[in-house]
Amino acid sequence: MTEFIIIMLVKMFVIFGAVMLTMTYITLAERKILGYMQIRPGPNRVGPWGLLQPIADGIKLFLKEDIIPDKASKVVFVIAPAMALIPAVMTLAVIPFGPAVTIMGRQVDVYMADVNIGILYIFAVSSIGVYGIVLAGWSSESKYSLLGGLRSSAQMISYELSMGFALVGVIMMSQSLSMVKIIEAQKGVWFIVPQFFGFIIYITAAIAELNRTPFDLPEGESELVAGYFTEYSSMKYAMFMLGEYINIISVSGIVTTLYLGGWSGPILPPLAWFMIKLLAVVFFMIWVRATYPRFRYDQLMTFGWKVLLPASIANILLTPVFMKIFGYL
Amino acid sequence: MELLLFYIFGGVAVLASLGLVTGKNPVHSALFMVVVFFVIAALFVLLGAEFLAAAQILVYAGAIMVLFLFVIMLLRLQPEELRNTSRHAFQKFFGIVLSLVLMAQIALIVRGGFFKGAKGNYTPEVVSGFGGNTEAVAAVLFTDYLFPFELTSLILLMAMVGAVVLTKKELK
Amino acid sequence: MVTLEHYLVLSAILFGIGAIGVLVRRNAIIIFMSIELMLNAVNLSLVAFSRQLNSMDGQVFVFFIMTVAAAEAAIGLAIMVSLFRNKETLNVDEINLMKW
Repeated sequence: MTEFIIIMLVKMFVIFGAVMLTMTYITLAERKILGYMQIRPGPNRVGPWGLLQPIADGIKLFLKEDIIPDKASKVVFVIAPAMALIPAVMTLAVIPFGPAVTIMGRQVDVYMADVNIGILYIFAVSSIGVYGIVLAGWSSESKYSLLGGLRSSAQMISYELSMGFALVGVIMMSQSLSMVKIIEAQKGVWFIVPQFFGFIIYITAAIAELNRTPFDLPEGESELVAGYFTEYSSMKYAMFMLGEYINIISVSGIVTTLYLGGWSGPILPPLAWFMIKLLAVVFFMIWVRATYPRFRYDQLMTFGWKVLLPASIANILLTPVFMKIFGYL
Repeated sequence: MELLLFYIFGGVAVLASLGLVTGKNPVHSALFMVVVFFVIAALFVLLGAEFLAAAQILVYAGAIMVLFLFVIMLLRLQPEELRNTSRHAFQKFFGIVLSLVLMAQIALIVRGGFFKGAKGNYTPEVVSGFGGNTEAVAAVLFTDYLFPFELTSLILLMAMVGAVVLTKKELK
Repeated sequence: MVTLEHYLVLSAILFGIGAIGVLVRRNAIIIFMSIELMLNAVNLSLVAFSRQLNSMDGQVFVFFIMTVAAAEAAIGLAIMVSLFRNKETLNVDEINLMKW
């Protein structure tokens, strides 16, 4: 029992630390890549190639004055950033980073847990991610925050449906809800090939769930200042940013696991394959951000309900037909 | 271990539900409600009902309570005003007393141990033979309860139509 | 060892607190949330029975209750929105006219 708890604690610290480090440098990579895509250098003053920039940003946010608006609902205002961060971290618990490795004579899995309701757990956790945003918008007592919060919650509820339906195809093909079993089911062909439409729908909905460009209306700065976190400063603001970037990592991890074959790949060790695929998905998201302009709000809703949702239902209907034709059943 | 977890979750559930019924601000009540949903999901896991635990968080915490918060935000509800309480001065008193009596009655029945139902087939071994709780629930849901399951889709359709009709400003 | 009685007593307490909320509070939304709490208390006892009796039926019932609760929340909140539009209050003491 104690051994189990110690192993779990160590794994928790290692995975959390690694994700925090990756996340820090994803912020830098995002700014650098966006810079090069727009033919400008990006951050390059702090350290060589701006490598110390994330640390400088962190120190800056940490040392800033923490402002709580006078009229704000204090307790909720303080809880909201934590509510945005916690679901993001909770998702990491079921993402399988790699298969079992032998450390000091013990077989240790490089993931926290392989629960047999893996995908349902991810659904459940990501569905509570909306609370941080709604509460931040409500508690700030500011019209920009409230509008941002309302927009965002409506957007996230709408796109969650398509996201869920897109994954049903994967569940049908793998016949399991467990993340590790899904990776095993992709031994032959990665699910991105038979589930290509599901993949497109999932990643579109996931970008909308993450409130990233082109779906970043809740924080569209030209109309809403900064949306739901207009009134936040210092560490509370940093917690929203942390949540957002950890979410990018966990969504990329989910895409890697469900559609890109997870840790499997030739020659290189499994963990390296997982990281390569994960970073490729992250790069794709940054690429999308550099490419597309922002949607209008009614376009966003029309797209979510009239295009993405019917497409995801069609995907569910077509998957069994496909499976019958190509002999999966 | 299980008992300790039960007391922790149970205690949190009771405290949070007290916070829910005594909270002045609807948003605070809604947050306490979310806490209750979470601990009940945890108790479902303790009871071996993982599928329902996930569904509990997905449906209740993820959908229903977000809807509540959304409406509370949209209506800009102020904390409950204290006027008009004289009209039902006794209702508070009798409400609390009667609810306590109800609680005591249920507790008495439970302590009496009148539950002697016939045991079913789904022992933990059979459930793990199915591959887990989710598969076992599905096996029952899609065979014995197929017709009720289809009926729920009708209920959801009616709810959807009803909600649209009720909130639409002008019917054209 | 956690027995069936533990869960049933907890469920009874939660149900009672929900009943108090319905009877005492005047804000329609909080009354609604108390009803959800009572439903959840019942769900808890159903799952506890399901484990005790080695039967999946209780869990299937909980699944149906969740569906009904979702439908109920959608309709109930729609009613509240249209009520608020017409009377600008959700205090149930002031909503005492059949037709307005």
